[in-house]
Amino acid sequence: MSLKLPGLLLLAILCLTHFAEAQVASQNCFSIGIASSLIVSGEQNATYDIVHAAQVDYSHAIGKKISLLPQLGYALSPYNKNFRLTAFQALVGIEYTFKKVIHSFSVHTGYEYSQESFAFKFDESVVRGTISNPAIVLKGTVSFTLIENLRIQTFIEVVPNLRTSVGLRLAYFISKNKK
Amino acid sequence: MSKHHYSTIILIFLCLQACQKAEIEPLGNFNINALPLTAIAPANNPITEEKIKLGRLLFFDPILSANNKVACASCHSPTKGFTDGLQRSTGFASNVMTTRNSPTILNAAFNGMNHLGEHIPELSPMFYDNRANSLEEQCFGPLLSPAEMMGPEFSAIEYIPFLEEKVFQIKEYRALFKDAFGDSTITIEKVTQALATYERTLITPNSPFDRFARGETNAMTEQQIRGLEAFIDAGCNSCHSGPMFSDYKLHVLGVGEHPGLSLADRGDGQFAFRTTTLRNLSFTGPYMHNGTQETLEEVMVFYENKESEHSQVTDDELAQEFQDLRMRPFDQSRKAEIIAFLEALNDPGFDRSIPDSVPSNLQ
Repeated sequence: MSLKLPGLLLLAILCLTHFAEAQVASQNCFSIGIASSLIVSGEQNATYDIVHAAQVDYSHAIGKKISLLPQLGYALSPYNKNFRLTAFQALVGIEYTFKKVIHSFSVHTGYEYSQESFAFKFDESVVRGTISNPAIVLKGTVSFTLIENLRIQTFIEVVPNLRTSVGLRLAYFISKNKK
Repeated sequence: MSKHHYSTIILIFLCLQACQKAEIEPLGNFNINALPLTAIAPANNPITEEKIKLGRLLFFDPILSANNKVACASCHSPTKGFTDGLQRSTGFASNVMTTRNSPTILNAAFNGMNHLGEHIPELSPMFYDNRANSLEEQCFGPLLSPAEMMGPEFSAIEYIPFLEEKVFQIKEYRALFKDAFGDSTITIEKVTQALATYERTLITPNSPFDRFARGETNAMTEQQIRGLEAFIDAGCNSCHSGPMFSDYKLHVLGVGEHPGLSLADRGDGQFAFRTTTLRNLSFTGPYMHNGTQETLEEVMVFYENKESEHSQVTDDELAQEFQDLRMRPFDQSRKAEIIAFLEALNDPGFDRSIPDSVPSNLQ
């Protein structure tokens, strides 16, 4: 089975979930998101260009248009069978909400712990190992509201010296109170 | 949040976790490997200590040239990775350059070895155009070249007995040849056998890559490990394969002609040149068969462009493997990774010693 399939299935599940239960997002709310990003430069750009991630955000309003936005994320590069990146991220961000087409703009920073697992088969041996990197993450995100609880977000993520990636994220906002 | 939402979150993480848990498959069949720790010799020229000693002295002795000024080490200096560090070598006449860049003789003993470690010393391609088939045969080339050691005054038929007699006149050599071959007669064949035997000791099998490939995971840096992956991903190993990182085949790359040449160097006749080894590049620049590329960064740009720089070679004539390379011209970090990996092929632990004196007492 292609490893791309789980990602597509997740997208489908999220969309179906949304259309089944359209809700009004409250100001303080959770959101879950799945993201796909393309690594465009950096040392981790050797081969694994596409990284998928799942993230949970909590949006905490601290003003009329400004929210605190802690985020936990887990990412991996599933398509490279020989050299795999996995990363855990804990970020905190600030979001500014507009009224226009761009719904909001947010910046995040925080900590990432990534591991790159590799395996090479030589005549004499199979060499396996892991490269571990703790790092700082900087991320900028622009959000567009598709429909009530669903946003599509474009982001650029910089992990200094390791990678710069650009990506798309689909975020589903879960309000505490149902209509 | 409803149970439904919790289950969605859990489902996402489980899917990602499932992907992560999938076993990393070792990347194999990329046809590159560690060097063996020792070189083997042809049956008719076994390696002996006496022959190594004789070959080393001959290698550094200008007595082998007609004007007593050019030694093998003149173009293959141990201080420069057994090259001369020049674009093209100075040969017999110090004011006339040879046509090509002096290749390193480090690991030449392994030329022809395939990725399975199979190697027939009698069938080892030598020179940029593969015109010789063993180290012994290769040694005849510079000795009998008018541009290198024989000079323009002699023909080969005249020079061989002249050279043999010249060496025979030196008492110390007579003794050394007797120790190495059992009698003190001196022939050019024995000279080449001794030189080839010495060259078989000039090997570098302990580069960080070699140690990594033998299972020493920490031998290469993180950047070099990623560089190995990038090297394979870009398809460099299509030609730079085997333990020598060469397929020993002749390829047309369209490297620009050296501006100092009045006549084009046609390589094998069709502008094809042998894939050179990637080992010890940090000691052996400048690069390409005519030394026209000074740095590895320049070489990388050449491979990224994938265009002929030679006026007599069209892009259509370029080797398919060259055209199929998957480089990323705008990705500087990937380029740095590949160069870092190439640096993992350096092994500075080769014999750099130079004899205090040679039997001829020539300088």
